[in-house]
Amino acid sequence: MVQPIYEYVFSGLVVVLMVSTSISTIFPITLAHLSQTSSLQLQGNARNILDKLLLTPGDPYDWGTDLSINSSQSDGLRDFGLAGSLTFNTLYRLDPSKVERLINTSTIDNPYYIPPERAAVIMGLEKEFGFSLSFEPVFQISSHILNKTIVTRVTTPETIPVANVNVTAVLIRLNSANEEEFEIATSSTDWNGTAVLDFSGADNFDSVAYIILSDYYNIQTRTVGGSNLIEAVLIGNNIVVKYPIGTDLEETISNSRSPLYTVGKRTYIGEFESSSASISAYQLDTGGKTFVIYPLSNADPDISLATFITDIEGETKLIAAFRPFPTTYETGPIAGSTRHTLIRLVEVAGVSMRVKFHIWRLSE
Amino acid sequence: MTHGSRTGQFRILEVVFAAVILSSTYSVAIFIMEPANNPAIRTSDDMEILAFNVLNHMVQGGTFDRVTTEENWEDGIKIAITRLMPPGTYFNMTIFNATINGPSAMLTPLNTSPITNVQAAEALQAFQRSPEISSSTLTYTTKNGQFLVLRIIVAAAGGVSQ
Repeated sequence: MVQPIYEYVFSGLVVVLMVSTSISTIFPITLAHLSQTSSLQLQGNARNILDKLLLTPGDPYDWGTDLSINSSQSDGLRDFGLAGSLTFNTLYRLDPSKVERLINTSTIDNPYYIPPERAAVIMGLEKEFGFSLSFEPVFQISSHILNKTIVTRVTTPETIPVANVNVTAVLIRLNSANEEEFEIATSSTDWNGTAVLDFSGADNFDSVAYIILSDYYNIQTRTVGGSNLIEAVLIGNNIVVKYPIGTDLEETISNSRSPLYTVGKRTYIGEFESSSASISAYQLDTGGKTFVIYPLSNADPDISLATFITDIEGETKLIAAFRPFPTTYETGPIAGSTRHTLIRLVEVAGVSMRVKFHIWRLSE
Repeated sequence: MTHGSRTGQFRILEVVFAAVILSSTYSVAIFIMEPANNPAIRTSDDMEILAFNVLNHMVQGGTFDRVTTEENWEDGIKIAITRLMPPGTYFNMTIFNATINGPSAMLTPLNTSPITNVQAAEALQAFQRSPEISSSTLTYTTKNGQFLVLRIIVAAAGGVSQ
């Protein structure tokens, strides 16, 4: 009678041992497979989302220039994509007017900013994924004014100097008669990546704005700078100036004249949009801030610097609007153990940039 | 030894035998279910897209129009690709001049020096060791009518990068 009990106890122990061994063996394997499946799915999602961002124009296809879509009013934006609307045959060429909607920093107030949370909602990612999109020019240029020269240095993002880069500076300045003038100087970088651009012929160098373009085997980048000017930003074909620029806004606007803008190495004389013989500049209040918007008529979409002069309290001032570079556009800090990173090369307004895209699951 | 105790001993032997079969099955299953090296597979796909992306970017910028019109153009293109590629990527590029001859095309290498960021002595090892290796080919007609075939091989340095 006693022996069958031992048999059953022993059999039971073996069964318990088998079950616990099975569970402890199968469970980690299943988890590893689930984690890998999740990672593979994320990889596919990352590619699809990045392709959508970089290769499709969004809806409406010209939403970058549609100023009715802004930081407080973005309902009109039905689909999110950064590709140019007219560049169907040009892969990875982004629309500058869309890219600059991603920029809002402590130094650049952008009333037309589209928050990344809004972009995530439009793309249907908000509940499942977080993302980060960072832009980095292939070459970086630093510059400063020294007497009547502009000293520039071209390096890689890892600060390695790049020699033999063709460098061109387009300088717009106020001359001694308080009129706008532009000049161009070219040079190439030495072994240390440095080039000096000489403007010693300029009669007045007090108020200047400049753009520097570098070209190495058609890999291009640019930077902007200046001194003694009112800085503004260029959004689409609009000069956006943060108010107040003068005590009397209407007078400042009516005194505004001589818009000049640069596209690559070329400088053009532009026009302000006008309505009944007056400039159609207007005031925009958004996010507790006030801006003055100067629309430019018939301007090239690839403008990288636009300037004009105005009289403020009897003094002629140079206003320079720079097209800002995007840096980082993200829904939050990169997080989660399941994440994926992709790198692509893109062109934004003639500048070669590396785009790094991170995506991660929120539910971890 | 009674008949009952012998039956009991057989029962225990059956259980032990079953346990041995099951454990062997699990051992085999664990071996079979060992995860494949998927990161390498997926990053190879990414490398292929990146290789195409770099070639396409240079083609759109007109970089290859300088081929054969400048001295030491191989060095210039090598530095350009090095700057465009993410750090930690090996590449080896060959540019062929395509001559159409009836129904076939003859490819003649144009670059007289290698367009690569790997030393010749280390090239074979660098590309062989990398589990992430991929290539891309693009055809391009220059502004002066030259028909080029651009082929680039890319590999991640130091194994799988996650």
